[in-house]
Amino acid sequence: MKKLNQLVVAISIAAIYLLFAIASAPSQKAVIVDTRYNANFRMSAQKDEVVKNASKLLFLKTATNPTIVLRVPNATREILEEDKSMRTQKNNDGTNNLNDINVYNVIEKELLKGGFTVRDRALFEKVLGDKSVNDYSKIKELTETDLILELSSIQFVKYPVNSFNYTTSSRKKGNVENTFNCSNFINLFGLRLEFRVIKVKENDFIGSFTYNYAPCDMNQCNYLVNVNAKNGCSVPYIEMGNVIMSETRLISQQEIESFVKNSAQKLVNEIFAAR
Amino acid sequence: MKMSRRHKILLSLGLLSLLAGIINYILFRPGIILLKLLDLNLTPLYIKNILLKKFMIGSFSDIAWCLSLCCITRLLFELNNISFMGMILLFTLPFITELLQYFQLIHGTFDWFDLLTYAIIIIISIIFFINIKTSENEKT
Repeated sequence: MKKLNQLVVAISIAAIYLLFAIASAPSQKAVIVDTRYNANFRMSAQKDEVVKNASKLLFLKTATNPTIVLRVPNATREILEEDKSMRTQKNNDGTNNLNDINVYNVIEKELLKGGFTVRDRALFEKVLGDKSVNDYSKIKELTETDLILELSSIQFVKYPVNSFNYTTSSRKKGNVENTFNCSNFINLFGLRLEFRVIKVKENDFIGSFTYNYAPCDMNQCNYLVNVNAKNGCSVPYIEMGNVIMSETRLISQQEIESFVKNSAQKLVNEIFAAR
Repeated sequence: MKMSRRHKILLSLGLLSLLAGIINYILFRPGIILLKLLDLNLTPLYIKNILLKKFMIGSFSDIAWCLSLCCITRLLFELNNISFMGMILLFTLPFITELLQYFQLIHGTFDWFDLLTYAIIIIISIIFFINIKTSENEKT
């Protein structure tokens, strides 16, 4: 009887541990386990969208130095507190975020280069904040501004991809470019910048300008991607020492400023196309 | 049933090893059958160091499982719940699971390194447990 009991206990323990072994097996047969790829990405940006009322811009033909002010979203900065208004917000890792004031300065610089007289945006916000000013024509009187350029939004946009290219090299074939298809979609991030132009004197919305930036449009991007047993791809990333940069942080501040600068140049050209 | 301190240690070590193995799966390799059955869609933590990653994903849980089996088997043997032959048979279980993987009777990948690891763990645990028993006997 004792021997039978001992046998039952031994079999039970064996069954329990065997169950653990079976339960800890991968749910699907592994093909490639946690492999890191040097992934190359290439994509096209969404098309820019320009909608404008050209006839309302005809006054620019006669105006020598048309005046413009850049209106920014959530501009709550107080004038006379120059320290505050000139402060640059930086993330902890040294990268700038999209609320960085440099973005606005870049746009204003391009407007100046394009031949506009650029009004002080902080003063303009102060006038707008005055409750007695409830009409655009009054704003025109107070600020002597022809156009308001409203920066409606500047935001990151997802560009989903489910494949990437990688290069393998062998003695016989040399460098061969292959395509890896992920079982999931991964996101690369681009940017979208939207402007609205308002003619102050007539309270008219005269144009909407949307510009897009894709991360790997002009040049091929090279990021690292981890692939798990089920061909699931991790978010693309780059390693800078001990820091891992991924998602929106893959776009450098220089790229953001360059995109904003190009967009502002295109905008100025579109507005002055009536000239 | 009253257990000696040694047996309490063996039981705790056995259960903790098993728990550590499960936690390791949850953190670093959640794509296993058990977690899929529980419908847990977990994202594995990223380990930058490749050697550490290989160890945590490939070996840690196997080692913990084998250690747990050794502790529990030894405990049951010392409490006379299994015979000597039963203990030997249980010690062969890790090798049997690898063989089952080799013949693709259960999921998983057959690996000579796993066999070697199991052998080392079983030998070390037998020597370690004998040493503990001897030193405890000397005390009493």
